[in-house]
This record gives sequence, C-alpha cells and structure tokens, in this order.
Amino acid sequence: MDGSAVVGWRVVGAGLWVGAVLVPLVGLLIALATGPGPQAGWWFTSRQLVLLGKTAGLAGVATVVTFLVALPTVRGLGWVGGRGRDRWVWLILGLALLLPPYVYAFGWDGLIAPRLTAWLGSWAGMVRTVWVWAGWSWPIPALFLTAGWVRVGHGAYRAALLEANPRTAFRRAVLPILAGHGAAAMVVLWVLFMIEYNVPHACSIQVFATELLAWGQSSRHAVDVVYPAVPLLVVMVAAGGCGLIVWRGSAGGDDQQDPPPAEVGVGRWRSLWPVVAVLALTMGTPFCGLAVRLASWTSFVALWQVYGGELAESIAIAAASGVAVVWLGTWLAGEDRWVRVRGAATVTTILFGLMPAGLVGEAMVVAYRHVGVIYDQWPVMVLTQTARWGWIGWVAGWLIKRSTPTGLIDQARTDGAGRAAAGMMIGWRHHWPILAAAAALAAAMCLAEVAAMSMVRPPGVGWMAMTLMEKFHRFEDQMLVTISFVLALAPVPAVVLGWLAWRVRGA
Amino acid sequence: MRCISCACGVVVFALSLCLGVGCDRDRPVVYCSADEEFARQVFAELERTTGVKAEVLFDTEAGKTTGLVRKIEAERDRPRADVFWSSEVFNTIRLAEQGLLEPYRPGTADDVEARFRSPDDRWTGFGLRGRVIGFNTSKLSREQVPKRWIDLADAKWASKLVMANPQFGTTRGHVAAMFALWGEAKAVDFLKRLREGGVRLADGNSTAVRMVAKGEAALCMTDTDDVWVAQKRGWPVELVYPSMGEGLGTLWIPNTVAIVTGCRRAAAARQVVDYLASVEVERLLARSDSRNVPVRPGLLKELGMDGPTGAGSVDLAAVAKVMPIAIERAREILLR
Repeated sequence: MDGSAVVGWRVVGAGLWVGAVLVPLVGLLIALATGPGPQAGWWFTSRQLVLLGKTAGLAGVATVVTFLVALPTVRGLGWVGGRGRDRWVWLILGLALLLPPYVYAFGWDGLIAPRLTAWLGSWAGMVRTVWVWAGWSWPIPALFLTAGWVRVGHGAYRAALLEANPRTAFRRAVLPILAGHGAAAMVVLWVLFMIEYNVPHACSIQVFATELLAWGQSSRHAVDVVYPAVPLLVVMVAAGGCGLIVWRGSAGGDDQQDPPPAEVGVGRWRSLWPVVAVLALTMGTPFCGLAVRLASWTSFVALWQVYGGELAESIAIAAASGVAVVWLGTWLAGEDRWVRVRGAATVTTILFGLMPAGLVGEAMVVAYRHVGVIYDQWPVMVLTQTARWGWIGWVAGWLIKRSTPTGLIDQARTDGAGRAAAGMMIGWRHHWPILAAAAALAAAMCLAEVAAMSMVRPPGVGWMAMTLMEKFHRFEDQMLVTISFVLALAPVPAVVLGWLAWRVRGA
Repeated sequence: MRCISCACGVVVFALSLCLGVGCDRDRPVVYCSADEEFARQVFAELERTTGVKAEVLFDTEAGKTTGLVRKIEAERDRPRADVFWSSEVFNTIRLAEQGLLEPYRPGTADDVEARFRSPDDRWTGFGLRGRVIGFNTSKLSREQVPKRWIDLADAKWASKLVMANPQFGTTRGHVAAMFALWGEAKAVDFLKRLREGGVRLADGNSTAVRMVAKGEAALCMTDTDDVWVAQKRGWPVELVYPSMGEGLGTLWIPNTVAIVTGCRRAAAARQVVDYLASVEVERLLARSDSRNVPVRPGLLKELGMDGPTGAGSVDLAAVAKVMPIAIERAREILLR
C-alpha cells in the first residue's frame, strides 16, 4: 500500500463523515438558530409527553416480553458456544434478527390480528406490536446473555451442578451472574423499540417515532420537528450512556474459556430444543403465515415485471450505502493523526445512530435542499443511510483493530510502512470478511428502511420498502407477501459473510 | 488495498450506470399525492400515448399531500417539481395563492365545469372522491350509521370512530370544510366532542379503513376509494355518504393538476398537465378500483355514475381560506 492510497482512504472517509453527519448536523443547528420558534410554543404539549410516556411504556413491556422469549434459549445457546457442527444455530439467529421487522408484522397480522381484535378491541394493535417486536428481536438478549454465560458463568454453574439438577443450577447460579449483561441487553432493546418505526406503523398504532415522521412531513420549519423530539433524544442519550456503563461493568469479568457447561450431563438436542422451538414459533410461524397467503408463485414474475427496475435501484443504493458505511467506519476506527477529530466524528456518528429516522431525514433535507447534485439524485439516499448506520462500520473497524496482532503491525512498520498503512494492510487483509459482513449488514438494514427514505427519496428513484408499505395500505395482499419474501432475502449475504468472518477470526 | 479500491470503484461505476449519474434533464418531474397504484397506470398511459416519461415522486399514506406541499413551499427558490398532481384541492388553492403555481389552461379541459377549475387557470380539477363514513358490516347496519357528519360527535359514535390525522390528506380539507360551512364555533365544538368521546387517530385514511375492517373500530371518516379498494379485497366494509348539513350534501374533493412556478421543463410540464386533465384520464380513473367520479357531466352520464349533488354550494376557495386556522384548531384539540 502506498501513501496515496492511505491519503485517498482518509479523504473519502472524512468526506463521508462530513457529508453524512457533519453537514446535516450543522445545517440543522443553523436552521434552528436562524429560524422561528416552535409553532406550538416552547412548552411541550400534553400529547407529546403522553406519546413519549406511551412509547416508553410500550418499549418497556416489549423489552420484558422479549426477555421472556429469549430466556429459554440461553442455556442451549451457551452449549452451542463455538462448536463447529452447531454453528448453524448462530446463522439462523442472525438471519432472524436481520429480517425486516415489518415482514414479521405482516406475517403475524393474518394469524393473530382477528382473534386479538375480538378479545382486546382497540388494545389489539399494541399487543400485536409488543409480540412482533419480541418475536423479531429476542436474539439480542439471547446473544448478550449467552455471551455473559459463556464468559463468566461456567465455574459457578459447575459448582451448582454438584448440588442441584441442571435447570435449578442454571437458575440459581448463572442467572444472577448475568445481571450486567441482562441490563445492557435491556437498554439496547428499549432504545431500539423507542425509535423503531416500522412495526407500530404496520400494527396501526401511534408512537413517538411515527408521530415524528408526521411532524417532519407537515412542518414548515426544522424546529417543529427537532424541538418536540428533544425529550426523546435526552432519554435516548441517557439510556445509551447507562447501557455503556452497564456493559463496561459487566464486560470486565473472568475471561475464562472453559468448555461449554452442558457437557456435564445434558445432551446436544436436549439443550438445543428450546432454541429450535423458539425459532419455530417466532420465525417459522409468521413466515408460514405469509406463505399460506401466497395464492400463486406467479406473483414473483409479476413483481419482477412491474418492479424489477425499482428492485435493482433499491439493491444498488443499499450496496452503495453498505460500502460507504464501512469506509466511514474504518476511517473512524483507524490509525490516524486526527485523533480528536475522529473522536468527535465517532460520537456524532453514534448520535445519528441513536436518532429516530425521521430526524435524520429532516437533517438531510435541511442540509441538501439547495444542492441539486445531491438532493435531486441517489446520493442523498446513500448519505442518509450512511448517517443512520455509520455506527455499524465503526464497530466493524473497531473489531478489526482489536483483533489485529500488534506484533504484525510493528513488523510492517519496521519494514517501512506508515502506521495507518500497516494497520489497514494487515487488519483488512486478515479480517476482510468482517468488513464485508458489516457492509452487507448495513445494506440489509438500509433496504428495510422506510421512515428516513420517505423524506429524502428523489423523484424517479424507486424504493422497495416504501412500495411494500404502499401495498400494505392499499390492501394488496399478494404483492405484499411477494415483496416481503424478496426483502427477506436481503440479510442472507450479510449472514453468510458474517459466518465467514467468524470462521476466519476463529482460524 | 488495490483490490478493495477496485471493488469500490466497480460498485460506484455500477451504481452510476444503474441509476444514471445525473437525472434525465428532459423528463418532467411530477410530485404526486394520488395513490401510487392508480397513478402508475396513468403515467404508463401517458408514456404510451405521448412518449413523455415522467420522473414521479409519490408521498406516503401517513403524510398524504401535506408532505409534498411542504416540499414545494420549501423548494420555492429552486423548484425541483415541474407538475403537481394533488389528490385534493384545498392545498392546491393555497399554493396558487402563494404564487407557487403557474397559470396554464390545458386545452383538454374545456369541458370541465368552472367550479372545478381555478379562476386564474392555476389548477385544473379531475377525478372526484367523496368524503364518506366507512363502517364494519359485521358491527353496524347501514340504517344505524349516522347520515350527517355532525352526528358523529355523539359519544355513542365518537368512541367507535377512527379518523386520519387532520393535518394530512383529504381529512385536512374535510375539517377545513366543516369550519367554512358550519362556522368556527360549531366546528370547534364538534372536534371537542369527538376528542371527549374518544375518537382515535390513524396514519391515513386507508389505515382507518383497515382498522374498521379488522374490527378495531366500528366506523371511520374516509374517502370513497379507500372503501372501494377494501371491498374489492373482500373486507367487510361499506360506506354511507353523509351530508355536510342542510342542503349541502356530500363533500366531493377533486384531484388537481398544476404547473409549478419556475419549473425547469415547462414544455414537458404542459404536456403532462394536458394529459392529466384530459377525459381519458378521468375515464381511466373512473374505471379503476379507485372509481373516481368524473367532473365532466357528459362523462358522468356516459359511465352511469352517481355524481356530486348539492356540492355546488361548497365554495372550495372559502374552505381553503379557513384551512390554516381550522388545522391549527384541530391540532390543538385532537393532537394535544
């Protein structure tokens, strides 16, 4: 690698941060500073606060339910651990998590909505939202808790097994130890549910994220979108900080690499069946629900004929966003001279990740409305998604940095390579699947995005996730199911590349 | 590193090829708040018959029309849209009053009644939709459903009612029409009674119909086309045409088409407006699942459809005039 390549990488990385995060942030601040006050006045309306409370409560209930769904799987997942022959479980788990959440919502819709409505009336939408969230996101707490158990729980579990059966030993000895991981997972889930737009929208309930999009579309001035979102932002940043503190506290435990605990007295399938059962319930059931609604496979042909171009555009934009996210992330996490700049860039990128999508969309519109080459074209969509998912790239870059042996870098430096060039050359070459997986993950998340894209999409550029929502609103069940299945394929490359990354790291 | 650079270069090149480095500067840009399903058919016909391919920006169900109107207002210094096809009329009138729509009288719309055209030719109406009450047929019979909008304020109905957010779409104009036709005091009282009765708000008219069809609400304020489409899909939904008041009849809201002031492709924009305001498009929309009612009396008769009765007494401009204050009041009452 020569010096010009490093310079090029730095310039593009910094440029992406400037374009996706800094300019929109500054643009938004300028618009706030120079624009009029909020139309509804400086007091938050009771509706805004009630909606925030309702959203927080709903997110809280969903967090608890998600935990309850995840708990039975933790023991089995801990047993799978790093065993080669059962790594398929992680593959399916990753796939379950990366599927667009509204696909779950549409799947469950036909199965439970009529009965729930008959029993619960107007509460049915909220109950459905909670269940869909739980069915989609339970792998998050399962992964957190499993990581904790594998890391710190073996010794205690082994000791407890001397006096109790495996189930009791797990409950008494392991669960208390997992409190830190559990708390961190709860914060992550709660934050996720607070800003999630798709499921409440698909279940016809109003939460803060859906309302924020309405403000974004009906307001003349940025302040009418940003100001009502302040309470949510404060809550999110506080929750994010708490999560970080809790995670740091829990991550400092014993780093032992004992064999998985279930080797003591519990068989392979006996440990795994709860995982399989929960996967069948939460992933298999809604997809079967979708499949039975598909009257004819010819609808896939119709989809290609009518929306083939739109699908290609969506995939191309998602792919470009994935590349941009990884480029930005490697610059944020890379070895570079501008440590303070990159620190600030990282914080602002994570802040954009915590923002509701409607707010990110508003920032982009405010910043680029007068820049035709971006605003009138696909780059505004790529920049928006880079802002939303830039943190994924940063995590990937950080993982590579952490995994790359410093000895190899030092050796490269003694051979004449610069620090940044050495880090890139060795880290990227050894861990390219992590980069590829991060790009694919960001692309998958991007492809499922509706709220921000609905604010920035230029004329003539198709976006499949929005077409899916249109089909939902127009009651076009066949095309809804067909597009859902197609979008469900989006995370497959991310999962396969993630799997590859894991194998390479393991090797 | 060279490989990664090459890969990124290939991705960017492929993307550029796929999407075009810049947009086709000859194609007219249309902002369209009509439902995508029906509008796509119209634009396909436009391309087939005139050879004009439009770059269309549709809006979302939740942000109906208002989102695009705000875009046109915000882009006044550098208009991106050439043509605005709105699914309603009142916001179009507001845009025309701000000078954001250019005068142009399409030659294809001479047979459109004057009340469905702008007096200064800044917009042309076509394809009406009625404001109706949709109801779940397993919960209510047609006889039970109120026949006047004002009756919905009764707590008996308000608790079972769902309506779209009044800041958006035709609901926005509907609420403004209440203020214009009933007077502010009566309209405010109506909204307050709805709120006290427990009316629920939904993200758009079709979402309201969906909630009714699923039994989460018994009845909803919506547009005719949302009920027709739901019926076509087999949902248990019916509609009644409530009266806005004595001698006023149903509120019928036309689609409108207009050229954006300062647009960059004026000639192509006129072609699009000529086509959208033509009798062919009215016929196409009337025969679609949307079943829009033509504004041309001749076509109405030809298709044997029920049209606006007594709608002549609804002064569209007067409704548009009170819209800002009406929506502000509705926001204060229903969204606080």
